[in-house]
Amino acid sequence: MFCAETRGLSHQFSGQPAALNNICMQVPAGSIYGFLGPNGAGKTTTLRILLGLIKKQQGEVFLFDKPLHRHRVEVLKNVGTMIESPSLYGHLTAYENLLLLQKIFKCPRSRISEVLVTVGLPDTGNKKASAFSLGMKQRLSLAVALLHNPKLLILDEPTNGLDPNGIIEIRDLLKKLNEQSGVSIIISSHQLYEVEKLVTHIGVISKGCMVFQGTLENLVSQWQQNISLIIECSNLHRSAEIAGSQGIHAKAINGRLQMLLPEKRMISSLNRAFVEAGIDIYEMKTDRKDLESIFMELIK
Amino acid sequence: MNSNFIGCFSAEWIKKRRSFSSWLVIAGGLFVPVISVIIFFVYPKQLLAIHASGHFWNMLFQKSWQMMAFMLLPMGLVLAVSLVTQLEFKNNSWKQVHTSPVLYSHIYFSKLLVLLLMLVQLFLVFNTGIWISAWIPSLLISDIPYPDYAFNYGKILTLNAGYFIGSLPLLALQYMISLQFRNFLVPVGTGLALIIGGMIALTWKYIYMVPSAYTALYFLQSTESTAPAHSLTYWSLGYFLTFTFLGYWLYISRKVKG
Repeated sequence: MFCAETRGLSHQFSGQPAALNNICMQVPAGSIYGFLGPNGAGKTTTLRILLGLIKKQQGEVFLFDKPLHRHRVEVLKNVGTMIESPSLYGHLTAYENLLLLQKIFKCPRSRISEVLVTVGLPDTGNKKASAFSLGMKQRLSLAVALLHNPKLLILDEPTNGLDPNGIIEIRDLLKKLNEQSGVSIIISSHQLYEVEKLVTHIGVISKGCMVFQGTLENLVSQWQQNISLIIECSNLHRSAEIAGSQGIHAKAINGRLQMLLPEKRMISSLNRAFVEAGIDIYEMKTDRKDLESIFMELIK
Repeated sequence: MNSNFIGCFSAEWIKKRRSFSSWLVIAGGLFVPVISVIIFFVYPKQLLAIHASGHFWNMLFQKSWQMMAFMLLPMGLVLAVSLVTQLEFKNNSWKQVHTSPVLYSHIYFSKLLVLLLMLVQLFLVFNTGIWISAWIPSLLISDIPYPDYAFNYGKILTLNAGYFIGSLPLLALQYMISLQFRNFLVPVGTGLALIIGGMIALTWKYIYMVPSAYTALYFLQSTESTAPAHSLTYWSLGYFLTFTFLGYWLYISRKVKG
């Protein structure tokens, strides 16, 4: 079951190129879904359509398997949101900001103090939200999103403005919510390193198109299928012949020998053969990509 | 009234706590009475003349409403309504409002109800202020008698009801406009232009069609300065309903809701 799903979502703002092109987002229930992409890729537009803040032009949006446009009120009861900059009433205190939502969600009033403690803002007293630092505002916005114990949290760049400690705290909190309460989380970010320790699934969007969707392991294994072994040595021609004699097809590229990464035992056997043939090995490496490089390749 | 609407209304009522619009209701309601008290202290003869008229309360209320009806009430309406809707734009909170599990109709009409109740608050503060403005000079200046005349509640209520109904079209129109624009200056500028236009056209034969002039027209009618050629009550209610539902249609038709 998907707690959030879009089918063939396309959108174009007037006078501009397409902002979204056939986005099919599938967020499994119980997952932490990292929605990644560079600035302007279409993350916020997708999330705003997902929540009904922008009227959809083409495609379908489902939350908890129900079409949003027909069940908006019903499904939003189970969704906590934090979209872009904090949505707080600056002339009200943290408690009052939560109190007005408590009236709408009809959750117990005791939840207000609970979520303030949860996000680390238990003692703000009569201080107005306008006097809060950006980090405090982000925390309060998170408290707003958590107030009614939602089943799905949709967070657009929630760690903006937080110090490193704050980022770790929020990350731990989200992990705990997911693991202990089964809350599904969609978290958007333009930085992979911010979410890679947190997410179970990712969707990568670039220029309005979904370029990858799946688990982190899927992403890595998909990109590791064609890894090359690169060898820098004293005799390129002879080393290519030795590799060929062992059944490995190797090519000389830019003064180095390059081949598809063989099994480990083949690498050691090849190395031994080179040494026995009097070939000096200067460097032996793979072009294995780390997650960050894969991400950068995807959003090119 | 269903419980979701009550929850939505309660949330809207909390939002106006300590907001500029809520202070404006108090300041706007007390402005004329405070000015009256100052005038009565500087020129006690003016108050004595009202005492000598034989219709003390009627005269005092008419005098106070004169200042209010022409400029202060319409201007206060324009400002207060724009400030209430501006709370959402200024705080970037439309997206929070529109991702809450409430019907759009509940959001629209609960905000409107808050505005109507704020108007009632303004009238209460204003009427209480007038009453106090009659007593303060009597208590502090020995020459001025106490205003212990019979108080015709029915007449004062009718007078207030007339101004209240006369205020409704401008309130609904201003609400409709201010929901459409993020820039505070647009609804305020439009509202003020409508008020000034109404004042300029006050002697026009079709002025009964200009909703921004209704409180001034009601004053003129109530002092019989001008014959009531058309029922302002019907026109006011008609405009109020038209602007309210047109405003709702425009509100729900917005493609971007935050």
